[in-house]
Amino acid sequence: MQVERMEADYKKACARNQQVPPGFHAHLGHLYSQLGRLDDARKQFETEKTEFPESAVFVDQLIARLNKHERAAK
Amino acid sequence: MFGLLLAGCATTSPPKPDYTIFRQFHPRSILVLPPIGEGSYNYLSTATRPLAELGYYVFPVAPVDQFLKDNGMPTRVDMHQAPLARLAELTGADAVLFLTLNQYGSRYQLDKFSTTVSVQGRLVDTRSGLTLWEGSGAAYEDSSTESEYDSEKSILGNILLRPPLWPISSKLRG
Repeated sequence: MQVERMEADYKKACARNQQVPPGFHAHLGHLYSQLGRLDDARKQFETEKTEFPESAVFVDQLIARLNKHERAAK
Repeated sequence: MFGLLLAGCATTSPPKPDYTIFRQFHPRSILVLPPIGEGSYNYLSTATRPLAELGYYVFPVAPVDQFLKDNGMPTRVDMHQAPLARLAELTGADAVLFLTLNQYGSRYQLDKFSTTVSVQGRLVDTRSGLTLWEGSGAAYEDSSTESEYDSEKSILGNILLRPPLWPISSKLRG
């Protein structure tokens, strides 16, 4: 499963003190959101923004959409 | 087994890069749209990794694809035809990379055929609409020993999206 592969890749990168490439965290967050793991998704989106400030406009939109879906589901 | 061709190069000397416009606009983030063209539907872009290695922030293609679909662009053609200002507003991208992939095939024996995968690309600055870069390349192969996906990856990664055709981003250069 792609989520597991990405989580493993992230652990490997951390062990080597390497940064994962741009978009990695946002992509993983996207997968989490599709699985309904909204808090995990939000954490990934925030990490993408921290690691890559150029992503802020896009990531904020992803977070806003996530929050909107969460409110609608309640 | 496949051969790589760079359009416009009849000799072995590579085209002389002109980074004037690149330097002027120094894009830090690049929005790679899902490619359009025949035979490209199954694969989202393989352009992101070579560009990331050059130091550009590249938006992840799968979330972008879904996000643009949710924002009034249901097809890839819609994405390619959207106003640049709209793409910039939605993503904050400094530049957009438009890729067109095409595949041509011909059967030359009963069980053998050759295919050519061609890629055309254009990088456009979102604020001014100016073209920062354009290029094209092609790969041909016999008897489908390698997939079209490998050819696309090869053209983008090995030929088009690397120095000297592309400068290292201003972020890496400091």
